[in-house]
Order: sequence, then structure tokens, then C-alpha cells
Amino acid sequence: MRNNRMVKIGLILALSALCALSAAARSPTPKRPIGNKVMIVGRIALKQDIARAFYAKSFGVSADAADTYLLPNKACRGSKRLNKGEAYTNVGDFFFITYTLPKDRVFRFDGCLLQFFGKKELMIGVPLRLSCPVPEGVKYLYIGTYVIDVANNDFVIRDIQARDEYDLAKEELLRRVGNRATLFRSPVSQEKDQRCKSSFFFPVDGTNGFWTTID
Amino acid sequence: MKTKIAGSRARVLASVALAALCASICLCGCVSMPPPAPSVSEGPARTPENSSVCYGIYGIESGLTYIEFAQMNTDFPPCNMQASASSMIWVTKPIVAGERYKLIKVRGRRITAYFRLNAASEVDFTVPSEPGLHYMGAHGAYEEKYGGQPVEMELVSLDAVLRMYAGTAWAPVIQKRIEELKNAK
Repeated sequence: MRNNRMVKIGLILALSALCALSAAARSPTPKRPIGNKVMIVGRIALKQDIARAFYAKSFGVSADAADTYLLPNKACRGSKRLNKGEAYTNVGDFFFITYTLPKDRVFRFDGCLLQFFGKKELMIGVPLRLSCPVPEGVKYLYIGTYVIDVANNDFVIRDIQARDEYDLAKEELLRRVGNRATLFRSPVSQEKDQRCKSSFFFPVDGTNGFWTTID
Repeated sequence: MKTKIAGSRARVLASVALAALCASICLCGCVSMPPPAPSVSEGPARTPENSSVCYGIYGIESGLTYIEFAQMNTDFPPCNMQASASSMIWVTKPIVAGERYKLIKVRGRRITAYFRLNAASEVDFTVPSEPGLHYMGAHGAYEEKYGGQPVEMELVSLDAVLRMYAGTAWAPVIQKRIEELKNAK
């Protein structure tokens, strides 16, 4: 009896530890960028929700699953090879991602992939094509909030509106990294004529998987 | 969108797994999934007079084993439809005019292809207003197996439709269509 109880307690403790580790892996504390790296802060949101209950049934997924988005791990037409347990950002939440700046210190950013219901087979590319000069010494850069207007009948992006939510972004950043961070706001321009070339690799099993691009 | 396999216009996401190996192994149609019986729909029984059966050909390496559509017209009830799929031929259950089906996923024996939501696939279709049988054409990499005339490809498809709907009110309609096509040849 006593042994059984000890086993049960052990199992509960092990499960708790696993849950804690898993939670920690999902929300790591951002590290202060060093060298020519800069942490980009922004937010991707949907202008209005899709007909969630309807599409959950048509896609055969749970209506409770959150929409997520994923950014490339290299700025300026970079690629993103996903790892097991890769952290996604929920649509509507701020993202914090560190990139290495090119020599001209102009941050260029193709955009992201948005996955409805968090499913890789239900994705759309979100082309942002941002360009933003970054002065020397800047470690934290705010690039704006981008509100995506997705048509509810065919998921085509009708419009992407930029919003300035600097104060909110700064508050969120300081909450994460402490008062040592100074969030820089730089004029961001959009290169609408260029095609996005950032790519994402989704592993399916072992070494197999598929690539996709934003545009 | 970068793809490994794709329709001519559709932006397809595909696994790169063993693609070269798969290309050399022709398993098309060697093993087929048994076609599921038409599912019972809510509301009045769906007959050839009030609904449609759509069918077509989708070519993917080593045969089509799975094809999934999502009903996208919010004026109609939602529907996740895994159509019958074998030997590159897919067949829907009875569906009603105005419903719009988007191709979500196809699977061969070694490759699964996804279709980006905001890119129209050439396989996407709206159920025509006229009830009955509707051949939606051949897409994907089907030429090696079904490189014939459209009439011949539809005839091959109708064999699969007939097997699926044998013993139902659809069987005479399918037989009639087969006869029409044979006479037209």
C-alpha cells in the first residue's frame, strides 16, 4: 500500500515537472541581444474573427484551438526550419524575436505565416515586406501592429493595416525583460512591389517535411 | 508558394519525403481503399433529383489514398468531406447545389499535399445548380495513368462512382451516363 502511494506521488511529481518544463519551453524569457543583433517587437492580429464554429466543423478541427503565427528566424528573406515543440505566437499576442542586422543596418522583414486553428494545413502567408533603418546601439525595435483583414468566405487577405501600439508594446517588453530595455520606434516603410521569399520548413517525421513560402 | 508537387496553378504544399524514390515506384491503384458507403445526410434523403454527386481524377505519386474537402459557403451547413479516393479517382457523397468545396489535403502512399487556404486550387468547386452527376475533370499528375481523352477518363471515373453507389437510386443515373458517353465515343 505504502509503496503504491509512493509510486503515485512520484508519478504526480514527475508529471508536474514535465508540465513545468513544457510551459517554460513555450514561453522563454527573451535574452538581451548582443553584437549586431536586435530584438524585434510587434504584433499580428486579425481585424475580425472568421466564422469559427462553422469553419471548425468544415475543417474538422477543434473550435477551441487558437490561431497562431510564425515568423522566419532570419530577417530579410530568411528561412525557418522548425524544430520539435517549436513555439508559435498566438494571433493577437506580441512577438519578440531576435534577428541579426545586415551591414547596412536596415531591418527587412518579409512577413509571417498565419495558421488558423493552429494547424499547418490551414495556413495563409501574411506578406508585410517591411523595411526599417536601425540606428547604432538600438537593441529593441518596435515595428508596429499589423491587423489582417481576412475575407470570411475564401480567406483571401483584403487588407493589412499598420497600427502604432508603441506604449502597449513597451509595457509588454519591460514586463518580459525588465527596465533595462529601451524600445526604439523607427519609421517603417512597406516595399509592396517586392515578392516575399522567406521560407518555412515543416517537419512531418524524422528528416521528412515540406517547405512553404509566404507569397 | 514553394511546392514539391503541384497542380499547374494551385499552390500546393507537399512533403519532400522520398520523392525521387516514390517517382520510380508505381503503386497507383495496386491497393485501393474500399469506397465508403454514402453517408446519411441530415434532412430529406439526397437523391439524383435533389442533389449531386461530383467526381474527378487527382494524380499524386503512387495513387490517391485520401482526399479531403471543406465546405466553405457559410450560407450552407459546414461539412468536412473525406471523399472516396482510390486509383486517383475521387467521388463525393451526395451534395447540394451552391455548396462550395475547397480542397484541403490529398495523400498518396508517401506524400501528403496541403493547399494554402488563401490560394484557389483548380480542384475547388461549387456544386452546380443542376442536380445529378458532375465530372469535375482531371488534375495533378494524372497523365501517366490516365492520359486518354476526357471522355475515357470520365468513363473510368464512372466505374468507381458506380461501385460506390451500387444498389442505390444513383445506380440507374450512373449507368445512363456511362451509356451516353460510350455512344458519344
